Amino acid sequence: MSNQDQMIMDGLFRDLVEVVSSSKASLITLRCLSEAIDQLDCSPDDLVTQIDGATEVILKSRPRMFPLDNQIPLFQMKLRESGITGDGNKIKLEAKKNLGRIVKPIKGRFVNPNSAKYRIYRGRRYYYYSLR
Amino acid sequence: MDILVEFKLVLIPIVVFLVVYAAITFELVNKAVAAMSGVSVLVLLHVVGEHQAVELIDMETIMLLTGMMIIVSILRLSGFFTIVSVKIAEVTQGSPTRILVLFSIVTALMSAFLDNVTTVLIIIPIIIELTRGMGLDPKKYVLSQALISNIGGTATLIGDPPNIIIGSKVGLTFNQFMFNLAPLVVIVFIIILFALWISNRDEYKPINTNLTKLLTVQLLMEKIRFEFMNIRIDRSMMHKGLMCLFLAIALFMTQTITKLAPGVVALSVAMLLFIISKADVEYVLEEVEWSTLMFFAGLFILVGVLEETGVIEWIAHHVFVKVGDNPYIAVLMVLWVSGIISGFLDNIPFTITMIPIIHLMLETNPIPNNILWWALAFGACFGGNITMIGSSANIVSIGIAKKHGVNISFMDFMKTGAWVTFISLSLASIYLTFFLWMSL
Repeated sequence: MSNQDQMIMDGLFRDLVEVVSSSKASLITLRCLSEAIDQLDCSPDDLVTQIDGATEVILKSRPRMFPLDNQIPLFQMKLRESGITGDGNKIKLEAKKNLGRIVKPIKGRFVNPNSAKYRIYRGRRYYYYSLR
Repeated sequence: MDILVEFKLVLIPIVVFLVVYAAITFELVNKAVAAMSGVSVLVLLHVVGEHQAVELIDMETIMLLTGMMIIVSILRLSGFFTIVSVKIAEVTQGSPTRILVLFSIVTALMSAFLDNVTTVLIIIPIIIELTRGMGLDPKKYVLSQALISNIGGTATLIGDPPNIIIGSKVGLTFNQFMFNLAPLVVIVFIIILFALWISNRDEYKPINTNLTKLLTVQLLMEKIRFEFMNIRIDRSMMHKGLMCLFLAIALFMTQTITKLAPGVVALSVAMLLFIISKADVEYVLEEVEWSTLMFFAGLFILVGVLEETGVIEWIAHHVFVKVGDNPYIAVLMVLWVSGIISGFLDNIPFTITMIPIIHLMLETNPIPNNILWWALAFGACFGGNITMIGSSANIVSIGIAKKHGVNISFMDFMKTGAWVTFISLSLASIYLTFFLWMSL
């Protein structure tokens, strides 16, 4: 992981939390991580290292995001517990399954106040998403 | 007495024309103001009467430009271009090569059927956002899109201002432009795109072997979706706008059957779009580039006066006709002279000046199949790629890039623009030579 990667990620998180809440940004990040794992093309041995690298970048990112900060260590733990090695596709599948398990309950806890999806302030849309 | 009359009728227009040209080239004043000030001087000094001056304006060109500007403004207002660029960004999936290729295809197509400036106004911000977010150098991508927009615009009558002027003043149809210019433009586009890719191939390495980069791209797509979709999308207006754009293109293509001039078609379709879309007329009219129209009108008058006083005829005889009867030399000379001059001077006044010269060249040396006009079109459009001041699309692209913190110097642009132009003009030379050999 390079400094540039960290800076880019920090910038993206900053931009995202400007238009969506931290909880929605967390959900987006987890979904994006799942999508990225799916597209990754590397050896099975490298796969776990790559996942560790990416999750480290997320954890070190500023601003810190809730509940992402809690969910990423959980994801890392679950992946290690599964103990799958050797088969890249199986590791990918397991990682995606674990991410799906984490995302599902968060999705269900979203509250959309006043049934409004967003508000407009100074010509920009700000999306309401908060967790129950 | 005769000397005084001669001075008034010949020297004053030449001096005014040169001063206006210098003011435009060195950006001393606004281009439109420079051209119209020149006209004012000629009218005030009674070199040309006001009614006579108005008659010198080619209304066909003005109508075509106004009509297309209105259609494009309404389409932009509907959010169509934003949707297109966000969708392409999604399709690229963050692959640097796909970003280059897909955006280039869209830029070329949009430049061919809309105008270059609108195209780069839409494409450049999103490509900067995308490449910078991925940690790539946006400079290369901005440059490539500016260059590709000039190449794409060469393909049709409505793609680039020099083509609009040639088509309207000479009476060439949309189909003639497309059938004669588009085949070479497609070849040039493919070769230049490949050359741009190969010259920076390290920049375009795939990123799907790095999970952090892939994650960054996914997050970036989300950010772009939120940011760019933040504008209002009016689907009804978008459908009507697209319908009218296709109608205009269909009428351009059937010009030989309908006998409707492109200017009449563009303006009529624009009015129809105003009525059916119920777009805010005041807002749309504010978006029309009146200064560009004024600039065109002023130049038509200045060149018209030079033509009437015989100056153009003199230049044609002493510079271009002197090359002799060899049609190959004449065609290649028009192509390369137009190309090189258009790189350093604005290609719009240059094209307007060249039209009467080429008419005179054709009188003494009739070259078949409008090949001399295609040489002018290729030269003026491709030549705009040499420097950042060669075309409006370049200037606008550099301006947007600067606003986003990406500085592209004159030399940065020329380092790529010069060889791109050289390849484009060389391919055009082969194409025109072959075309001429087949026609003779």
